[in-house]
Amino acid sequence: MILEGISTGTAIGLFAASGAILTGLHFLRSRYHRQPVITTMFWREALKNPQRRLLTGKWSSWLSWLLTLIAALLLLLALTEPAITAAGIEKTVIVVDAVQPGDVYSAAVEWIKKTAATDPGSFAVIAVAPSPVLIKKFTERLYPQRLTGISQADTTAQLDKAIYLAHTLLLDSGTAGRIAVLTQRGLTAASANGTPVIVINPAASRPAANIVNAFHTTTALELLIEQHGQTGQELVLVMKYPKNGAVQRFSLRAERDGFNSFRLPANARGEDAELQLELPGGKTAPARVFLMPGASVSPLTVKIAVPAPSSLQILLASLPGIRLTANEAEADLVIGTAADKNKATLLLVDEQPASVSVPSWRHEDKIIAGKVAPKTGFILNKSLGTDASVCANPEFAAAVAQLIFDLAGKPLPGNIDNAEPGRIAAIAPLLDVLPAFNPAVFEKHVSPLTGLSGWIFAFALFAFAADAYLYLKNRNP
Amino acid sequence: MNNFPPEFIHYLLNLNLRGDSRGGMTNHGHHRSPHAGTSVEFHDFRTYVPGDDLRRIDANIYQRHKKLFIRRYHHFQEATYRIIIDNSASLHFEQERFHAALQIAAAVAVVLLNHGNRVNLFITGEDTPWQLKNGKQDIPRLLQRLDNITTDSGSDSRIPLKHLRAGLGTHSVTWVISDFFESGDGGSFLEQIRLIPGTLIPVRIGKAADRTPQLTGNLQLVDCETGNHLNTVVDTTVIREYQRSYDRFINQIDVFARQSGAHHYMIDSSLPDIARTVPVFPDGALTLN
Repeated sequence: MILEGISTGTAIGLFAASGAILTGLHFLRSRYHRQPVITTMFWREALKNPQRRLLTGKWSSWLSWLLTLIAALLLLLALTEPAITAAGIEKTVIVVDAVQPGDVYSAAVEWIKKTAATDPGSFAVIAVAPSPVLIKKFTERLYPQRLTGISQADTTAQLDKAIYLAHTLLLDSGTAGRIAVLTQRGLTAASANGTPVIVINPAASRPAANIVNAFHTTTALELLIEQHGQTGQELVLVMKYPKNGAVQRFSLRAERDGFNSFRLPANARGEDAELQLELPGGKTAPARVFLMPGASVSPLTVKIAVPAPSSLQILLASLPGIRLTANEAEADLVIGTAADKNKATLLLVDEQPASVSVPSWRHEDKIIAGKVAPKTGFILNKSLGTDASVCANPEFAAAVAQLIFDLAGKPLPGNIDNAEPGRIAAIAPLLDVLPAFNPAVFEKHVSPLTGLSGWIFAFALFAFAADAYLYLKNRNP
Repeated sequence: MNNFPPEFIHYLLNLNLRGDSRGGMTNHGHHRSPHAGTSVEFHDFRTYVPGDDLRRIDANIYQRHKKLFIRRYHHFQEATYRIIIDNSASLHFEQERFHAALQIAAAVAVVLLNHGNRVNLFITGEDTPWQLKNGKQDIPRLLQRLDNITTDSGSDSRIPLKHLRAGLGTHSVTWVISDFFESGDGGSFLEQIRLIPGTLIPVRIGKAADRTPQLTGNLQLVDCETGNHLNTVVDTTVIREYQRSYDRFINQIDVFARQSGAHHYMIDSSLPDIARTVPVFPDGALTLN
């Protein structure tokens, strides 16, 4: 037997909890102590007076009816678990490849349950085993039991059909969205009819402490690594480019327990790079194929005149909100050198080594002979230009992006949240990272009505119902 | 429980009957009728008119004055004294209530018997009355029978109206000893006794606390007579309404007694034996008028 509305365990728990509450109310309710009297004729007349106890007398039936309605409403809210989704959250169709080893598939299912639980209305789920099966519409709850038991092996998942189906779902919903594919196999299609496709590689199982748990990329050159255990240890990201045989190594340092975000280098864009993490102790995380999805934001076109290769150029190239161009005519922003100071239309960015490690920026307007002098921005970072790995520093990337857009007089694309300056939360909207994939960001966009959907309101409901029941039961005829 | 301790019996035997009672034992009642009649007590003379009974002509006056006068005599009508004891469950709610009812009934009956009157005693729920015709000689039998009514035997409030309405003389006095609360069938006790002819004297058994019940909180009030229950939250407002209802009830009994040409006596069962009889026997005497 499958309970469609709530799971069996939930039903049992609800019954047990409500039974406990009703039992408690039964023993704690206002009891009427039995009192023999010589006659009740005077009491009956006393209780007939309509002016006595207006609330429980004249309005008793209305009060009882109102309580019943409230109880029914609370029951509905408690069982449907509504959530308010902030505007701007794009819908996502999760395509899970069920033709995978069982433990990998289980990890994918766990990831779906965790992700879809945050905002069920933003997610649809399609399983591919090997044909696409619609598991959850946008308007449905996620029933995890539909995902279990369909895993297969030794066949080929029809991911293309699933992605097509996912695209259809997004079109039907009438809103823009994304497709997230959970698979360990490589995908050649970067997008489905313009819909960005995110490839997420589920880990086989939750590893022990200090081992990389999740390792995947998102839409815009961001690398999310979930690692539990000791922080501050060094990870080495190896990027191999099969087309030209090039290999790049980047040193990463997880700063907190759980998810850490890293910027990928700019020259990974558009290529099928193979990513591999070298873990402490010589261990190596499984290789992942990185696919660059299509840009989803209108880029800021920038011409940079500084000699290449420049660390600033690499950094700007890695920012998805910025497109570099060599044509000054189509540039929204031209970054020149010190020699261009006299050009009134140019912006100037000076890279100035600073004595502090915290990146910062500023710009100033100079008035020269009645004209606005070139805007000059200063990027202060003592490590700037010394190593390409600086591009993977999200704090610095965020600072540069902020400076560039500020100089151009344009707002940052997306809803910049600087509640945690320099952290992933600040840069994520700029990079157009799907908030749901980053719990820290997601929490700022979605406000589940936990107060209405929690157990406490279910309890309140039964308390109301029990109260109404007791009231009616003990009401005098 | 001994309803009639020796000191109480001694007290009863010394109670007096106030009014026109002559005392002593006769076959006639002791209420003098305002109409001159055929009894043996001389009343006055009046002038003879044709058609008068010639045997009533006073021969002595005729011999002396040569005038015809008729002797007239008092007409004594036989009065009927009855006592009704309510044996319903409400009077058994507390032992002292029924105890008080029996003592009042005994006191009234003893005074009447002690002065040579007949008394019919009715117990609700019983079809036939106890007829006490032998004056003082019936007092021991009366007390013994009253004492044999156990306090847990009562449950019936039916009044044997058939006997109460049949065979009456032109004058009757009935003491109704009861709490006058609603009977088990939902009817009013007052409505029942209203059907009894003659003078009705309500003797209400109660307690001062009946008007001011010391109850509060959530209570399921169970009627001792009907067993019906009533759930309520007793607070000062409810008590106030209760007292209004109680006062209306007392007023009804007062009106009823006045209409019957009698007084309404309230007996507080919480008082000692002799003290509780004082309302009916002020100054140690039962007043018939």
